[in-house]
Amino acid sequence: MNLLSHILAGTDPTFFLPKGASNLAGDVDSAWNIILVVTTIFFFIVVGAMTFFVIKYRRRAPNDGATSEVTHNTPLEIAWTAIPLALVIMFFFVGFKGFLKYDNPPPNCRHVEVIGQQWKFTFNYPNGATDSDLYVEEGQPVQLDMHSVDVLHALYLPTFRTQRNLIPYRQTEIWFIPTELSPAPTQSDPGGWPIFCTQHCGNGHSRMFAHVHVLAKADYDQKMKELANPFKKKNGDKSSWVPYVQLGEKLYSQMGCNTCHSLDGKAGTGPTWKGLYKRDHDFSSLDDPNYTLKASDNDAKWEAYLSQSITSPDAKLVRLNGINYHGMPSSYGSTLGGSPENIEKQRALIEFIKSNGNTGYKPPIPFDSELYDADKHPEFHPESLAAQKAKEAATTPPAGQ
Amino acid sequence: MTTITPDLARAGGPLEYAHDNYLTHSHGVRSWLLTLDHKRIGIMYLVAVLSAFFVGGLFAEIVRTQLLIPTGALFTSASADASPYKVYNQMFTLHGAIMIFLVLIPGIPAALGNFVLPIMLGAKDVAFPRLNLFSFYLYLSGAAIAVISIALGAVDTGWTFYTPYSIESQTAVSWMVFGVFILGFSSILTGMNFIVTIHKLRPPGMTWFRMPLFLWAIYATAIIQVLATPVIGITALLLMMERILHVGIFNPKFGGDPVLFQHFFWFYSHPAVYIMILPAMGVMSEVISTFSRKHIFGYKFIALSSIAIAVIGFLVWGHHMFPNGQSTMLATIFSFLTMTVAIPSAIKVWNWLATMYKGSIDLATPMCYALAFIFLFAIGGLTGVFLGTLSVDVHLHDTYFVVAHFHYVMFGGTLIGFLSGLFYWWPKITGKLYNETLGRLSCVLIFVGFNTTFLPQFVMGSQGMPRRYATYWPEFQPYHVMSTIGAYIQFIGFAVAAVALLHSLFKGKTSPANPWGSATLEWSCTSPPPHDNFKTTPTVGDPYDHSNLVWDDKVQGYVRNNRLAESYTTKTAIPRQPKGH
Repeated sequence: MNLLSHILAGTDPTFFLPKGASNLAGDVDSAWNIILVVTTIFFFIVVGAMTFFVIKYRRRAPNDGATSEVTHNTPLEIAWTAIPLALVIMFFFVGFKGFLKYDNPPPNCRHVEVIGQQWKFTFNYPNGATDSDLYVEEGQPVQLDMHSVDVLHALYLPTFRTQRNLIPYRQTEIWFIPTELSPAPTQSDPGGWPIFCTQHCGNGHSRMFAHVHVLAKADYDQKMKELANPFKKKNGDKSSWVPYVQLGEKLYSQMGCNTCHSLDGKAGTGPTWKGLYKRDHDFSSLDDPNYTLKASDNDAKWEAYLSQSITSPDAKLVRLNGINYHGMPSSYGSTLGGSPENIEKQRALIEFIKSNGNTGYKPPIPFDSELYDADKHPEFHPESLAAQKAKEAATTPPAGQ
Repeated sequence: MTTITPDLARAGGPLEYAHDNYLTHSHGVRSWLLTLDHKRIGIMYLVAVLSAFFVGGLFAEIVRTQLLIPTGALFTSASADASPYKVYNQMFTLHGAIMIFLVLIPGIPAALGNFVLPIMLGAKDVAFPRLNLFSFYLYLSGAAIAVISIALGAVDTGWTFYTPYSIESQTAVSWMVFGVFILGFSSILTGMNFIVTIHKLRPPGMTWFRMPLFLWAIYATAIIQVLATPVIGITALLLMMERILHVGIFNPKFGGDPVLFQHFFWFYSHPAVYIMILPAMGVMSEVISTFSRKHIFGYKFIALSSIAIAVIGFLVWGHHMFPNGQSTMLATIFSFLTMTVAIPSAIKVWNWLATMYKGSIDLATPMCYALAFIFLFAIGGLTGVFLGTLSVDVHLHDTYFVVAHFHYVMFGGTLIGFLSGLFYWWPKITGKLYNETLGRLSCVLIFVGFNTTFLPQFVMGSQGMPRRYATYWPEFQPYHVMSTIGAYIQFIGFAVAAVALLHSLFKGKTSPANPWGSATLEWSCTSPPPHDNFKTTPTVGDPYDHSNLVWDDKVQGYVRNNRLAESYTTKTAIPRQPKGH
């Protein structure tokens, strides 16, 4: 890492460019500066000459003629062809030199998988952790192995001076070395630097952004551990299970639900989650024409409905406040279907939906229950266990029959 | 400022107004709809293009209004189809598609070019008048299909139709690209018509190097139209097949390659920006020489640079795709070629400046627009160097920097060039003179509004503001607000320009044959020109020799003075006339 330190060069923000906080920024910014100076000089030559001629040679009477009838001057014409040509070829080489860096990642890169979908990024870390934000370690080369699961996206890191498109069924890469710690999150500010999607990808395009957090090694390792198991949290030496409703709240933003579903009743690309649970539902399209969903229906029916809406979003399309909502992109269902872990995440989201805007909400297991103690019950999440038992009870015939 | 352009309010009208002209030659709607006269077809194009421009401009104002506040000023709550941002996406797509396909591409060649090309050349009409009318109706059909697509579900993919989003979009993409397909044929047929006209209908004496530079520009444009447009046509068809039949050429789900679409698309659409800018450069050469009363400087360099742009312009499309999944090798080659295409454009700018040097510069409305063109095109061209440079482009790609660069070239270049040409040839087209003060005022307003709109976009782009965003991070708001204010100023500017032109139709004084003192052939026939342009085959001279054109108070315009021409020297021979009143 020390070997690399001499090529690590960040840049300060200017009127034109944001802070440059990667090893790529130095080259880009110096190329920018060279071109800015040269083009500005040329601009003032052109506009200066134009202004001067207009004032000096202004026609004062209709028959004022030109005071020169020169129609060509070969040396001059060769000069004003050759000099700009030499300059633009120089610019080409300056840009080429910087560009080669983009294509030559060092062998010790840490690889992070990036999945783009309408309308969020997912970052999968080497230790199995997953998050909607990018966490990187200061001074450690990172390579993002990116692909899209639906349409084109682009991952743009203005502070690192790099971007690349995410393409379905094809891997593209970005690599860089972060050179500076990013601002830490605060109560009002998520911290980090922006990651934007720059390739138009549909309705939520402008809401498709994330943050990159550059952390010191110790913080990075800690963060990775936290992210690796979202179901458990560490508190000193003790570890405990995260209640589903709290996990669901976290997943709501981590998995990008917040791009389309509001919590405050505001209409978005998808229906709001405020008061969604146990409200009489009206549908514009149904897989089963006889299906109804009323406030009076039992929890099992409601949970089945929500689960289906996550994994097969087109099956039942809701109509709310006069709006016919379209199905959510199916990529969300595929990231939440299948594995037992994903089914737990679905339950967590459903629990969060139940609680949102519902003052009378009671968690299935009280928060202070000793069942959440992960040191005593390390194997299964208590709510998962409870759900499993309830299911078994429902399918096992009652004794005596 | 001293006004020395003809002001006929005090002069009792010129003697040269032709009462029997192409406008009065025949009457009735049929005589227009079925006309084979290139001048009438040009006018019909002009009306259609200006209408499309009005609609495209309204969409632009809606886009800018939405961006006044970070969360969106217009489309914030959901509409019937559930996404507040979809409507915004439709607005910027329609703005782009209408401006590109219905305004910028046909604007100068089909509208102004149709009107002046044969007269400038000394011909009675284009080579294939019926084909000319047919291509106008193809244009109308394409435009109609584009309008139908708006009704069926306005496209929200951006005017670039990138796959696979354009395959999956629920909007009427197939209709819109079918419209583009039809418009492409209109463009190809017009280009072919012009190529044949220039090759075969030149009168005796009109050698290649005696052709006005506008014709060289139109010729170079026509070559691109004929060679590049078929590619967008077939790409449009393939995209429709992909949507309807799932053939798997562009759709990765069926083994297709979405990046291939970008190659196909830009193989046309990059040369297409030269289809848009070259004719505007041609207008500049005419206007600057005329209003400087000086022979154009470096005629052959300008003429051949048009051809150079047409040729090199075919080899640079990959610079739209540096970070889009194209190989590093390809990106490098395209970057190098992109740098070389800057040179012919630079040559033209130097030549225009040299033409003004020691000229006799009249700041009439067309010249004001020409000066605005040089200023804005210089910025547009020079910022292109940033984007052509590989490493810098990786930072600027798909940001507002690109939006600003593109508008400086296409709006500051093509559209300002179109306005310059429109004000320049307006007296010839309509036989009416417009109010110079209003004309200049429109130029100043558009110029100021334009820079207020697009200069801040360079800054927010280099700061990292991505394009095509319905909402944005609050730190960009000051730039967006300034940009929107500029868009409103431009709206006023265009309204003033419209008033100046429309007012002249009803209240304008009649125009002499040659109000500006131009030496090209179209100014030697009456204003408006007679039905068949020239009664006898015109004598062809140097198109930029202004030496024997003198101001005549009686006609309130410039006339050829052969007696004076013999003894004329540029410095002293002509006795100074009193000002035009």
